[in-house]
Formats: sequence, C-alpha cells, structure tokens
Amino acid sequence: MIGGTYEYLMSSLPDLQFQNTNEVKQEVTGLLQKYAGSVADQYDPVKILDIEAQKFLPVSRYRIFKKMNLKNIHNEDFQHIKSKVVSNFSRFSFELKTQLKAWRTAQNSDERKSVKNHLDHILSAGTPLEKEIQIMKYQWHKLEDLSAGHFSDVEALFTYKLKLLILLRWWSFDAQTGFEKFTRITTKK
Amino acid sequence: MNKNSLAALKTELGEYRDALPVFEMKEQQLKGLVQSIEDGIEELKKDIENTNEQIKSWIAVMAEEGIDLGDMVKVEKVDLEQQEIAGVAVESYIDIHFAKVEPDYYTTPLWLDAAIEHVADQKTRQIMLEIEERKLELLQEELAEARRMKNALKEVFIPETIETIRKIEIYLGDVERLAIGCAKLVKKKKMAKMKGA
Repeated sequence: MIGGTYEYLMSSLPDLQFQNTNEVKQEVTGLLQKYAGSVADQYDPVKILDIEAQKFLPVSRYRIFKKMNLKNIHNEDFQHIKSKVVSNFSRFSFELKTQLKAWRTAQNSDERKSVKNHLDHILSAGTPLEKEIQIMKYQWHKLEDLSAGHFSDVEALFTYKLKLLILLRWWSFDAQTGFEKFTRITTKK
Repeated sequence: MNKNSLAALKTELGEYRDALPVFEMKEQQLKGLVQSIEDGIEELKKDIENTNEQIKSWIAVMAEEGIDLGDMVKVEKVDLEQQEIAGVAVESYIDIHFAKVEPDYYTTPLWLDAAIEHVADQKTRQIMLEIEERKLELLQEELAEARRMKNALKEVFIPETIETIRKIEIYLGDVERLAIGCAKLVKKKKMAKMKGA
C-alpha cells in the first residue's frame, strides 16, 4: 500500500509509540513544531498535523480528517465514511462507549449492580487513571490491528492522527494541574 | 456615704455574688463546647487531607481539557439548623443537596464519575468545615465575654464593693461614735451647769 503523495509526509512524521515519557513527548511535539515553520505561533501538534495533511488530502477527506477527534469519533457520520480504518474505528468506539455507558450507568445507580461486560478486564480493578490508560491502550491496539499493512497511504495518515490524539490525551494527564483543579472546585463558594 | 448607699451596695454585692456562678458555669459549658467543635474541625481537616492523599494516585486525569467539573457538581441547597447554644444563636449543618447532572456517557471520560463522587464528598466536607469554623468563632467570642465577666466580678467588682462597704461601715461607725460622744459631752456639760446652779 504505497501512496506516493503520502509517502513523504508519513516518513517525515515522528514515530508514535504508546509511551508516556518526557523523551517521547519532546521528540514528537518537537518534531511537529518544526513543521509549523512559518506558522511560528502554532504550537498545537494536532493543528500542525492538520495543516500538513491539508497539503496532501483531497478537500472532502481533509474535512473529515480535521473534524475527527476522540470525543466524536463514535458518531454515525464517521461510521459510514470511505476510509476503512476510520469507519471501523468509529464503530469500535461506538461499541466501546456503549459498553462503558452500561457499566457507568450501573455504577451510578443506587444499587451499584454488577453487569457482565466485555470490558471487565479493563474496568474490574485499578484507579481511574489506570482504567483510562487501559482504555487508551485498547484503542491503540485496535488502531494497530485496523491499520495493519498501511504504512504510507491515506489510511496511515488517518491512523496517525487518531494515535496522536490518544497520546496527547494521555500526555495531558498531569497530577499537579489535576490537583489544582480539584482544590479550586472543592473550595469554590 | 450614708446608710442608704450602704444598703444599695450590699444589694449590689448580693447580685454580683449571684451572677458569679452563672458566668463560671457558662464559661465551663462554653469551654466544653468549644473543645468539641475544635475536635470536630480537626477531624474534618484530617478527612480532607486524607482524601487529597488518596486521590493523588489518579488525580492527573483531572487535568484533561474540556471537562468542566464545576458544572457537574453544583451545590443546590445546604440544610442548616438554627440553634441556641449557651445563649448564642448558631447554625448547624444538617444536609447538602447537589443538582442532579447526568453526564453524556458518549462524550465524557470514564474518570468523570469517580471525580464527581470525590468532588461532591470533598465539597461537603469543606462546607461543613466553614459552618463549624463560623460556629467556633461565635462561641469563642461568647466564651471570651463570659470569661471577662467572671474575672471582672471575681477580681474587680466583688472585692471593690466589699472594700467600699467596709469603708462606709467604718465611716458610719465613726460618725455614730462621734454622735454618741457629742451627746455624752452635751449631757455632761448640762449636768455640770445644773450642779453649778
């Protein structure tokens, strides 16, 4: 699956691994910032990737590429698009969120019923942080499966953005900022 | 300085002596209450600290952008009970009600549920702490006032009144003795005059 127009872009993008270390963070964000080039005030890695992708993608695909994020990827419009990776990942996300909804609703009910769930291996133990990491790992592995064999085509580019979104979400978790937010909310009158 | 003022001072002294045990008792009662509220405040502070420690292992998730926890956990109403403790009007915590907000399960992350629960619990403790601190402040003011009154009665009013009464009694005794002396002298002079005649 070699797509000439995407080959250059894909090979010049920083390699993404499911890791949360300062070294990996700096490598990915640093390289993407180099891409910003003339748009010096642009430090958001997703926006930088969007700008780069716009140069290669047809308008209709770019619109989808730009719109897609982890909050809306389960939406029906993504489930029926041409890209196999995106449509399959969208359906997977919808199923995942539906399972999570069933578990959360049961947990939030007064009786705290225990429901059989395909995600028991993720949800049964651990802190909320550990559960989130497990969910993101699950999404990551799904993307790896879906994009197998796609290295430098449009599917690889879509996969890249989804993986970047997962990593950026993980990297946004910060104990100090979280604690400041928690303290601010709990002491606010 | 006459017998009337002496009688008035003795009445006053009686009133001071009646009031002293009242203030002593009030001081004791308030001391006990202040101590128990201070203990309660300590407990609440410990609970707040313990929760902060417990959630440290996963609090990083709350840094995620786009989730407004403040909107998800809103205090609707705090039920308070008006009470009079040792003559002081105070408010005591009864219950707290949060606005029921159902999260959108498709767009909000899993950690939000645990966060809502912990934020609500911690917010409840913070509100209870504020109420108890306000109550403590009022009772401490009243305790200080009771102590001031007790000390004033014990150290100033009662001893000073006793001293004034003593002085008046001496003075009135002197006046009486002087009057008797004068009367005796007049009588003696009259007798001498009668003998001479």
